[in-house]
Amino acid sequence: MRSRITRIVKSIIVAVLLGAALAFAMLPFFWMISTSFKPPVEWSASPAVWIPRELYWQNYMEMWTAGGNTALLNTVVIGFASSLTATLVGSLCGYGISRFRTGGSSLLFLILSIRLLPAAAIIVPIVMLYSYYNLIDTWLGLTLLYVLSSLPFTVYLMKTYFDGIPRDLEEAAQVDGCSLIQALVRVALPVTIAGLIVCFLFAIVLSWNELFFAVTLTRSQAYTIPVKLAGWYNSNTGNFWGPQAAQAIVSIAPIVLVASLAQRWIVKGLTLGAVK
Amino acid sequence: MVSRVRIAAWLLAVPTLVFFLVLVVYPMASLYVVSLFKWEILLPIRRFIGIDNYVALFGDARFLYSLRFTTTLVAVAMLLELLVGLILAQILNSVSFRGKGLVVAAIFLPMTISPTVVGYTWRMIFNPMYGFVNSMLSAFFLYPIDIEWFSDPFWSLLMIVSADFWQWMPFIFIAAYAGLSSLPSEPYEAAVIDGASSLQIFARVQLPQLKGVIIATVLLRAMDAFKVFDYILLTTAGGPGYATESLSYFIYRTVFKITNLGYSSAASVIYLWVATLFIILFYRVMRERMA
Repeated sequence: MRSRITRIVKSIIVAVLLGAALAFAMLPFFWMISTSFKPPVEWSASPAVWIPRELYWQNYMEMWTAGGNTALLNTVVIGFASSLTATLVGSLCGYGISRFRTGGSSLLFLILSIRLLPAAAIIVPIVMLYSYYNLIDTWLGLTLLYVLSSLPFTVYLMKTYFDGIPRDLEEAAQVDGCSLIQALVRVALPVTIAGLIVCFLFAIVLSWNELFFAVTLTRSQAYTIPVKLAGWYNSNTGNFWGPQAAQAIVSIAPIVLVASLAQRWIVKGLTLGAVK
Repeated sequence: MVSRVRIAAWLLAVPTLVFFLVLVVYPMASLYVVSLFKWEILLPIRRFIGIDNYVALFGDARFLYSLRFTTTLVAVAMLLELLVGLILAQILNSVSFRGKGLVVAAIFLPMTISPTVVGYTWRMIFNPMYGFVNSMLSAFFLYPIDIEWFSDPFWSLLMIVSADFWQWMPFIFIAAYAGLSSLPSEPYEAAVIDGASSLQIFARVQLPQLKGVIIATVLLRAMDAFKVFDYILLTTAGGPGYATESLSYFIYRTVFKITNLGYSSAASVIYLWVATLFIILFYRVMRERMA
């Protein structure tokens, strides 16, 4: 009897704690969505309005015409360009490390260390380099840095992918007269298509969310969504909570979609395999 | 023949190495060189001044403060995230119900979105006038709470910690949760038969087995938290005064506000050393785990 009561009390406590954790995780999302539909009277109301009386789409229009369109275009172009490149470059290197142990363990560690390098620590020479080669405020400039930032993940992931594939097939292909590159492209890569997709998704999430490089290296043209989001506020004009919230929704909607498709892999990427 | 294969193998790594050399090695090398110069952006001044930039840097209260602020922030955030992440992982691991996967996915969600969005949302919800945090705290403590989150250094620090916590506590949670659910069940069952309480089992049996995962995750997390920038730019912009300037934010500011690149470079070199320390620690841990 007593143990039954303890059990019930215990499960109530657990339910309350989990409910609190869920509410805590979800509340900011709710607030973003809600604010993106509030008219100015409601977003600047005090005390705060929780649910807008009607959907005020004007915020999205305003956000779109005030540069949200350019930001989306820039982010998509830079995202696709950098993710495709990172996937390609990373799978070549990952293949080499997997099949030939290129560079022993040091090469892999060297590449993985890029993941830990703070962007701020190298920004000064990058600004100097980019100014000299006119890469400031260009698609190419940001793309190159996002390829670099995605490489630790793509190399590491593709290496583990290739490790899991028996090499007999490629060896047979090479005996049949295929070159190394042909064996890679025709035999090994098609088997790892899932890995390639995960690399691509991870890289695109990374470039989609990045602020530091984007805000230091873009001005009035190649700005991405995070830069635009940060730019909605300035001390002269004050807050534009509504349109800014609309911009935030544009930033998170595709990511939430990708994340729900590839949760396990994103965790793996974020933790660099620290979690097995 | 063997050497030809070896050359081909290295060729595969060449594109990656080119990125590495041009965007990591070259910038790092040039940092050291430029940091020894008075290197003006707007004027044609490139004068060798030895370690003067470093001397000036360590006499710069703002720089030293940013180091201290970042360290405090990381320490507080790691402590909270580790504590809550572990407890949450333990709770979820010990129960089973329908829709558990959905709960895990919901807790995981904040990790995936842009920190910029988190910073913006925090600026909004912590606003003393238009946000809801103060009124929720008041409702919870049944006492009118009116915290100035943006003009008081202490509360600003807490606000930024809470942003980091909201977005990245799930990181520690997921790692611990995955670790817990992959532990072998025999030691656990033996402890249960011996009559150990669930707290004892967690502290004496499960936690020691998770040690490796936890250390690796916290180190990785600490390094990322050390880079904190987005939340600060979007919430306090370093203010009030420079009370919430992290090391990243300090360097960001110098890029736009200080014309002597040598000075910014010296600050970056210090930052690199801090990062290298983390990297070395991380590899020691990972090497043990991989071996």
